[in-house]
Amino acid sequence: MDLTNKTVFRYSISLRIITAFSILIIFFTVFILFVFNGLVKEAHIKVALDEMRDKTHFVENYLIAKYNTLDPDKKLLLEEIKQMAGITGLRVSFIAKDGKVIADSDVNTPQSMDNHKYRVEVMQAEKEGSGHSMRYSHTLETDMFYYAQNYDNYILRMAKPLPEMRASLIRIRQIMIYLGAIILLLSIIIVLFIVASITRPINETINFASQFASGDYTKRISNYSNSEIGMIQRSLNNMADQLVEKINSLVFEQNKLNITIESIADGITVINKEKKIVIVNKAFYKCIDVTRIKVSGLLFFEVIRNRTLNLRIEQSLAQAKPSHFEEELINGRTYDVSINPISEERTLQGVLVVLRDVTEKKKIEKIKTDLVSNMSHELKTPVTIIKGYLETIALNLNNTEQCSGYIRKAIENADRQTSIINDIIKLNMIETSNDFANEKIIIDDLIEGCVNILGQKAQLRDIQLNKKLEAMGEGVVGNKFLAEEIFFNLIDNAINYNLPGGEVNIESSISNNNQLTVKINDTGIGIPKESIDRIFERFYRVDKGRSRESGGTGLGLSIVKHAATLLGWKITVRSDSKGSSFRVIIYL
Amino acid sequence: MITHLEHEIENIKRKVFTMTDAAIEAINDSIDALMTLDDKLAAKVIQGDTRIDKLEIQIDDDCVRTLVTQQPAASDLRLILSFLKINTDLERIADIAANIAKEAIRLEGRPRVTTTGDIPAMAATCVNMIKTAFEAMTTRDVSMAAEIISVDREVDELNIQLYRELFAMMGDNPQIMPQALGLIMVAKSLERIGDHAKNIAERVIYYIEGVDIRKENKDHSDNK
Ligand SMILES: Nc1ncnc2c1ncn2[C@@H]1O[C@H](COP(=O)(O)OP(=O)(O)O)[C@@H](O)[C@H]1O
Ligand SMILES: [Mg+2]
Repeated sequence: MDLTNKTVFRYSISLRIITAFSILIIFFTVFILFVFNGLVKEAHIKVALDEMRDKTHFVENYLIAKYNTLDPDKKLLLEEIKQMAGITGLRVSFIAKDGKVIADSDVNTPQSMDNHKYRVEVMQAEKEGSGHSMRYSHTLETDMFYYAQNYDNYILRMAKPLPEMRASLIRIRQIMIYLGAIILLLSIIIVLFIVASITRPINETINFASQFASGDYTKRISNYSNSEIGMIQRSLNNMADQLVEKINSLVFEQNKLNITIESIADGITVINKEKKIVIVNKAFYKCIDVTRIKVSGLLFFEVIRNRTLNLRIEQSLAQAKPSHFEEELINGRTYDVSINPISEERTLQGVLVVLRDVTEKKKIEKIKTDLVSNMSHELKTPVTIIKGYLETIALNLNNTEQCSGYIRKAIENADRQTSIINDIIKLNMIETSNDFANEKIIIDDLIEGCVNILGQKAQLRDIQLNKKLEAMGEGVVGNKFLAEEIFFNLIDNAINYNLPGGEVNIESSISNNNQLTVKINDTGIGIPKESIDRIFERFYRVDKGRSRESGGTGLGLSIVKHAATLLGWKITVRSDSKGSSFRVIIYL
Repeated sequence: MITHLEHEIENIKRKVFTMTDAAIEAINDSIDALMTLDDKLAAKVIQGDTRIDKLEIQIDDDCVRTLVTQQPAASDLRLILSFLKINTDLERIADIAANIAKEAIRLEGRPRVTTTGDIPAMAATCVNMIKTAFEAMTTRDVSMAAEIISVDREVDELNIQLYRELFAMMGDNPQIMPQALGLIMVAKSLERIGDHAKNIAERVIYYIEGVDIRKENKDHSDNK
């Protein structure tokens, strides 16, 4: 809730209270005024009436004293009337029963006056003995009080202006208005105070509620009173406490879930039916090779760069069907992908995508199947060739010259078969057996021995073998058979994959951090970049023809690798179009 | 509530991204085919190109229809205009990939030539440029898009390096001429793919900022 709403709220409450109060006060003021008006009028009339009665008695007494009768001659009355008026200080009139004015202290010629029979006071006097009335005189511009008393032959009437009455009425009205205004003002102030004292806690409550709603769970309403609002505030505080507890436990659950999802090595994402990514873990980022942007909230096809995966997700979202397949993703790794629809009350909410890395598994699988097919192929080929030659020999037994050539070829292939089988046996032995005794071996001597065996082959191919060995009197701990296999195969390869007139340089050196490095460098044909990682695989050969021609089996480097692993040595390769360089690193 | 225009834009977006994925797949597959001399994979790339051509026409139609019927303004308008251009770039990229695949078929059976110049690395850089351009688009990140333009120079350099190396090798060993010329052509193709990726990045900047970076650059050079 914002500020304007709050002020409107406060004004509306005070406005309503103030209007109610004002109406009440005005009503009472008018009522009291009305009552006072009546009372004041009555009091004035009573005073005037008493005075008039006294003065009537005076006139009676005066007439009796002077003329011994209440009913003197009319002429006498005319003469006396001025004097009576003068003494009483009132206007005095004598009116005949028929209403004609006999004499009037203010008028010299009473015959000219209106008939007074129907004046209120006159009629009343005639009926009840005396009567009075009050009227506003326009000629005198003041209220006139009239009093009439009935006698046998006439009606005596007296009149008196009553300006005080009007004045006091006006004053009373003024006082009442002032008083009313002051009361009104006071009550407005009081109302404002009351309203403030009511709205302040309400506003506090509203503030608290809106802060709480906008996520500030730490605030509470402080120092509440014992009023109803205080009770509301107390229960709101309670509610807030409970909510915070609930929220905390929810957050805890959420965190647990997040940690779980994050710690899973499989790439996981949930895509909602608006095609937006809503849940995603770190592993998934790796799968889609996204490092610089946050993908949650984005459309899945904006960040997943794989046609098949996007298509399958789209299909699963459209048909609420699961999907399972293998796919190489943009990071170059192969994943086992499973897409599962997430439904709630039979309507699709989204899909869960789980990516499991199966690159290594596939690699191993491939190596296994390759191995089996390679091995059978390698073993079958020489037999097929031998069989072919033997069949030809059988058909041409009398042609000894031709036959001896075929026999030589058959023997060559039988040798090849033998060397393949020997290599397989050797490799198998190295791989499975672990009783290679630790003994002192002298590297220089080993290399020397290999060079002696291979020297003839090198000479035949016009390849120069150079040695530059650092003297190693002591020798190292290892196994003679394994070490010999390593150096023999490496030097053999350096000769086999060399060019006529090339060189093989064998160098050894001890570096300060206690390792002996033997380098076997050649100036041969080199190894293509994309093959370098594969030459240690069984039966892998860059150029099959060339390998066969040199009596290779494709197993040499596999043997080297396994032997080195058993010895705890390291083999590294570097190669370009000018030759290859193999290094054997021996830890002393 | 999703408006009609938003719906149309999402639809176009989906198709453009599908096209992107197809183009990236074509690059990767054509290079794989070249490296392993796999003519089946190469044939797949060449066949896939027709599908991409169809998709290009569809996207063009969708963009034009949306422009006419929805009359988008401001950023939406720029997005669709960018898509129109990016669409062409992606189609060209796929075409080039198909040409690389044809080269792979042509080189089949010939001994391989090895160089230090790295064609797979060049291809990976190109793919990454395209991918990053679209990431910049979705996050409206101008600096990310601008980086791509400088990465393009790396691709150009790799191309030149490879060219020199292969040229020297041909001098030493004229037998490898057909393979070496093939690799030169592939490297040149990748360099052109890099150029298209750069175009896409420029389109992305136009979409985000509303200024044509090429025009600005021209203004600068005019001032000099
Ligand atoms: N020094 C080298 N120069 C070039 N190529 C080599 C070298 N050593 C090994 N290779 C390549 O590695 C392949 C595997 O070697 P290896 O396991 O010894 O088998 P092979 O019996 O064919 O020699 C060889 O066929 C050859 O293509
Ligand atoms: Mg060998």
